[in-house]
Amino acid sequence: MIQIKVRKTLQMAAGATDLAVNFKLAPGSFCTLYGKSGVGKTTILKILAGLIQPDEGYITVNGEVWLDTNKNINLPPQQRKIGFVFQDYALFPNMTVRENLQYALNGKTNKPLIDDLLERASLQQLANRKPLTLSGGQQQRVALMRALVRQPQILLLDEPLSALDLEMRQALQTEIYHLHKSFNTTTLLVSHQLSEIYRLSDYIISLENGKIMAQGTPNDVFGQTRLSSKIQLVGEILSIRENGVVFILDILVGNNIIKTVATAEEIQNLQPGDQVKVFAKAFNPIVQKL
Amino acid sequence: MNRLAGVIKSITTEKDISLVTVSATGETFSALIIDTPQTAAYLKPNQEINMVFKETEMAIGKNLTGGLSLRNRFAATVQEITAGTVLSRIILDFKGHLLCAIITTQSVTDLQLAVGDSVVGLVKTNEISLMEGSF
Repeated sequence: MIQIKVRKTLQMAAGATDLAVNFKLAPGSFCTLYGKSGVGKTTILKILAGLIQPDEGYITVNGEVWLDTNKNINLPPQQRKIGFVFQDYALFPNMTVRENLQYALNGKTNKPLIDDLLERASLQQLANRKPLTLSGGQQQRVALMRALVRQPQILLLDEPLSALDLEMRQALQTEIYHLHKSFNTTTLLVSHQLSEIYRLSDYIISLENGKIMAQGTPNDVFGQTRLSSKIQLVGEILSIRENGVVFILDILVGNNIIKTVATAEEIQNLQPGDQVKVFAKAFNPIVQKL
Repeated sequence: MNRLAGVIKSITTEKDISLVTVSATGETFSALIIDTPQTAAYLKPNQEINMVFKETEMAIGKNLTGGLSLRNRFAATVQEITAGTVLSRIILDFKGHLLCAIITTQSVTDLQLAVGDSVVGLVKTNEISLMEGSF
């Protein structure tokens, strides 16, 4: 069990905000911190990692106290078993892929582990390349493996896929999910991509102005509209095309593109890139065995 | 999407499926849903509810005679017609509520549909979703 209860005054562009959160994470869970920019999502990750000191609070991870401001306990980052992946990869450009992984082990050697990770990420062929000669997706794979090489108790992912194109994002979502499962780590993701959140997380903490507004399963948090329609999908609008008196929407749901018809009123606030919910009655679909 | 606010009058359930009657602006509507009072707490008499249905799932009748299996039929007046090559968009005035139907332009021609016509709006029960609260 991971328990975090912290408070910190943040200096934001709009003035001072009090970040005050208190939540628990079950071991092995995949939790997403959701909310607009500047609500304190990244700050929470950095407090967990020991990179930012909160004004007060405590953090316990599987029985071990990482932070307790009352007792003056504050483990330095290197003593906290975390893996951190940032949006911009943050790899050492002067080291090869293998050396980047090696460096994260703090001078210890564990060739079998590094070989295993390189193989899982299909990076064996690239082990001796420097990061800047790799694609964005490959660099982020290296960053992910470097985070996992320390076999962390918590994996912290700060919008790790937002710099990647759609196809790479989806491929890496799948990889992240499998790695999370096979390492049995507890993962905390910062994301505002609804389809990504639905795909990966089993728990969501929704933040607003430094406070938790809602938490629970994706359906608990986002499924609050009580609608009798039994087919409810979450997707991303790819395109909106005028078609006579109606419009055709292409919506990406998982790996499939579905087409729907919408009226001028329905598309008024919609544009490509928007996350949407798609509802349909249970009576329409025809099911056929493949 | 079309939306009509009403109040639940009755619920008839058979295993997982319920037929819900809703009273809206003096007319009775029926919605068929895969939910029961056990699975959806809002399914109770006198509950305020929104009925939601897609424009493309509404049909229009003019000078209707004979039997019809459709449960939801309501008198309305044609307020606006926008004709495309294949589809047309018809705005109906139903007791002051505007509802939209997308039907084929061929049907508009066949029915000789014109603004001001008295017509019957038609929606199948299984095309109506019930929504508690609003979006």
